Amino acid sequence: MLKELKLYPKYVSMSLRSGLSYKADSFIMMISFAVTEIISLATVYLIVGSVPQIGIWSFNALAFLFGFILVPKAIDHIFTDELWILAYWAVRHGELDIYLTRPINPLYQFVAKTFKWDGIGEFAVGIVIMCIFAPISGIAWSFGSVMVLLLCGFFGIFAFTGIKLIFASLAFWIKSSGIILNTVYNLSSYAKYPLKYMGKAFMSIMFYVIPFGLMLYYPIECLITGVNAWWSVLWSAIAAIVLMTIGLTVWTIGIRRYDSSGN
Amino acid sequence: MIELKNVEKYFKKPVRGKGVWGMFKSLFSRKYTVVKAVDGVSFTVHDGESVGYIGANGAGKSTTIKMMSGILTPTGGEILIDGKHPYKSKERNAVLKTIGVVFGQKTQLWYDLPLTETYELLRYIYDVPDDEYKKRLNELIELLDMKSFMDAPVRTLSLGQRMRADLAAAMLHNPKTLFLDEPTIGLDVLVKRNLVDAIKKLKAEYNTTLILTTHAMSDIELLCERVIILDAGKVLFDGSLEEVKHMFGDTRDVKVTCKTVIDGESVKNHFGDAVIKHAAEDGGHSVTFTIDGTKLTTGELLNYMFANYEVADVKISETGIEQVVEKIYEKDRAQGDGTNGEGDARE
Amino acid sequence: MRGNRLKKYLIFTRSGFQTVLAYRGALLLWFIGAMVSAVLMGLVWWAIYSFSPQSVIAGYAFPQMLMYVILSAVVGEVIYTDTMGSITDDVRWGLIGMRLMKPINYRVQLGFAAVGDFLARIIIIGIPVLTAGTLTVVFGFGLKGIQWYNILLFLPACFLSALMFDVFGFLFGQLAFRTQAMFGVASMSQIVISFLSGGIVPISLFPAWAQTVLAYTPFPTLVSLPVRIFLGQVGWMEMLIGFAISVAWLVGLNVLAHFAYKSSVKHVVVFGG
Repeated sequence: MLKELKLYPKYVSMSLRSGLSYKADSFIMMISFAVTEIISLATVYLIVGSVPQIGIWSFNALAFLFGFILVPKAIDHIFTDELWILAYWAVRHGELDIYLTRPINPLYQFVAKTFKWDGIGEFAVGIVIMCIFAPISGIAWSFGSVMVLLLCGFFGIFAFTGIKLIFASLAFWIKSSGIILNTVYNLSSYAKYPLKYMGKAFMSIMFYVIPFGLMLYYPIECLITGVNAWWSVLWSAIAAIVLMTIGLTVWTIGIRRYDSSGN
Repeated sequence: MIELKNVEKYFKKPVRGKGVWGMFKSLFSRKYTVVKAVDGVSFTVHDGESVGYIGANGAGKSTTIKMMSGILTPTGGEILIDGKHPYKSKERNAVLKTIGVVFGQKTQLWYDLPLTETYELLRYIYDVPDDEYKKRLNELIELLDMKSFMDAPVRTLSLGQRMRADLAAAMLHNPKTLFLDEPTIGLDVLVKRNLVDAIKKLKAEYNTTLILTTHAMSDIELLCERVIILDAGKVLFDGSLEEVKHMFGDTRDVKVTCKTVIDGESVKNHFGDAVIKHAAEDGGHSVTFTIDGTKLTTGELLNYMFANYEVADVKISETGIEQVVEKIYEKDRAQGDGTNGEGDARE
Repeated sequence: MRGNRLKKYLIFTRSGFQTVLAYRGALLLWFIGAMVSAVLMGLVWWAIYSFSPQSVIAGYAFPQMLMYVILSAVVGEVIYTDTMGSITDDVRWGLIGMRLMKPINYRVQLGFAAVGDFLARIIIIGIPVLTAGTLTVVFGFGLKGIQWYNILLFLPACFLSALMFDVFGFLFGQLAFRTQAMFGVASMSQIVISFLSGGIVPISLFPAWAQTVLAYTPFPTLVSLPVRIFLGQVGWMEMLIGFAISVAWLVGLNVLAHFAYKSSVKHVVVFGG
């Protein structure tokens, strides 16, 4: 574990310098992610703007939620983007061989290889939106609420990483799990709507099955209503641990089935 | 020491239905066929040996190498490298530190960076001490003649250069065993020869145990003392290179060209059944004799020819392992005709 | 002579059709993903309508909005012809030079392949999903006013949209000559086009100024027009004008793309692509 940590800066620097030959491309990717999110926010504005208020949620509060979700999403994107390759490509084409022959955790090697700095585009958009809407979101700001936000933001990273790891590892069974991962991952974009009013069934799914709702939406709902905020931190932490445990287990069982095909 | 004890690797291939509905169903159905890629393989490789691992496409040779190098987990049996299992999570790191792997079709080098970057990373991964790393890298650069392309991004290297660089990458941590899976694939003859020489030099310098699979039989003849022939997931033969040749017929063709006409029949009569056949060309001015290497040496034949004819030119071609293997297959097919129906389903 | 040339290009239509068939498994999964999104978007709208003081938002009652969401998802998947992907692949794998040397117009070839792509998408997945979706909304949510002739007219409108998407793909796909980041270009152009053409929310929700500006662009003809035709919101006159505008944009954009392509190809020659 220590060795992995010590090696990480080396990986980051290699990945960054690898990307230097494609600077303009990374820039395009960054813009593309940022534009996608801005359009997404505009969509929320158009939909929500058609009514004055949805229960406890005003547009300003939803916009803050939107910005909040972007930050853990961007951080996960920057560090573990390679999991998409696992889902779509690497298992099917037998591209894990080389990591399995080295005396260091293969999952670590595979993921550490790519540092996607272009995720900064999403990160920046998220932070800017949060800053704009924090004062008018209706959240009573205090040291406590900032702590809740920071902690839940941190655990929220693992909502994305965990889901990606679980569904990408399914590729060991079905060769290519990219489209399934994509569908599940996209559920995260519905955590930015007022889940509370979107039906019991969907809310339960987003809380207990694919916990994007529990980890990303619920903390902000608690901050707005001013109740249960610390509970939401606890739930986020538990969900993060559970997701990562499942993810690592699926990976560990899956890698034993890895058949190195495709050559 | 590497021990394989009755190793098996089965792949389950799902049975795919036809049409949209069929593919939808196969997402949920549990029907599959079992493909026995490796089916009860046992052998032992001692330190410092060099073993050529050959067989037709799909015979299971790559699968075996991948099990020995920690990539695949055997379905049954046991693989021990110096007493440890490369596929068990607790033991794998200890095993992997003592082996190096080169795949002809895959590279472990970072595509957009100079070689030194990958080597630096490997140095950390394998915990190679600084001074040892420097010394070894310099040796390898010298040995593999890599000076000219050390600073170029890997994507600009030729395939031959890249293979040498991959060899160096696999040797940096001074592995006891080097696995080479089709190292010469796609290389042209001259580059191939260079690479084989380089591997030979490495082997001589570091006394590394060598296990290699290849399609090119010349590689084996040049590099290996021992040959394991695999077919349909089973060991067909395990013995020395010499033994292969003797067991399955060590024949060679000697083509003699003279100014006068050669009487092939009289030559054959002189040596009896040591000359298997003779074929005349050019109206008898040149004759190709196929001789049995166990009964008659090329030298004896040539001495006779020089004594009796005015020899202008001689060409000797040894029967390659390729033909030998082909022979084994023919024999096998004649005996087995279709008993191993799984054979063609394999990758 | 002309017939022969047409035949030559129809081969590409067939191969476009067959390509989709070969990947029907993946396509089916994409469609399921798109339908999941449509259902969830429906839930979002359900929440909105339950807090709305009026029952009609931007001209849509809830069942109509639900149908809009489903239809726009179907249109989005059906017209998604892979012209951009083809150019990207041809450039990346260095096949473009070979393509240019053949006695076949590359642009026309791509267009004909896109038609096959579209036909396969609409036949094997579009029509079944559309039928199921329409029946659900009509009988489950009481949607009224769907006419058979509007459903029939929806198909040619989608066809025009597919051609429009194809020319967009041809225009933006040319960026493959200049950048490796085609994943970014593709995903960004897709979401921008989808948003501006009413693929995510109805254009009538946009602020008035934005609607006015959009009316002068080809975007509304792409998703909004076929969907509104299906819903019976478009009168005969408006429909005719809509089709005429579509065709005019198609011609205009193809001319533009043609010249852009000429300069892109020069780029290849200069840089030895």
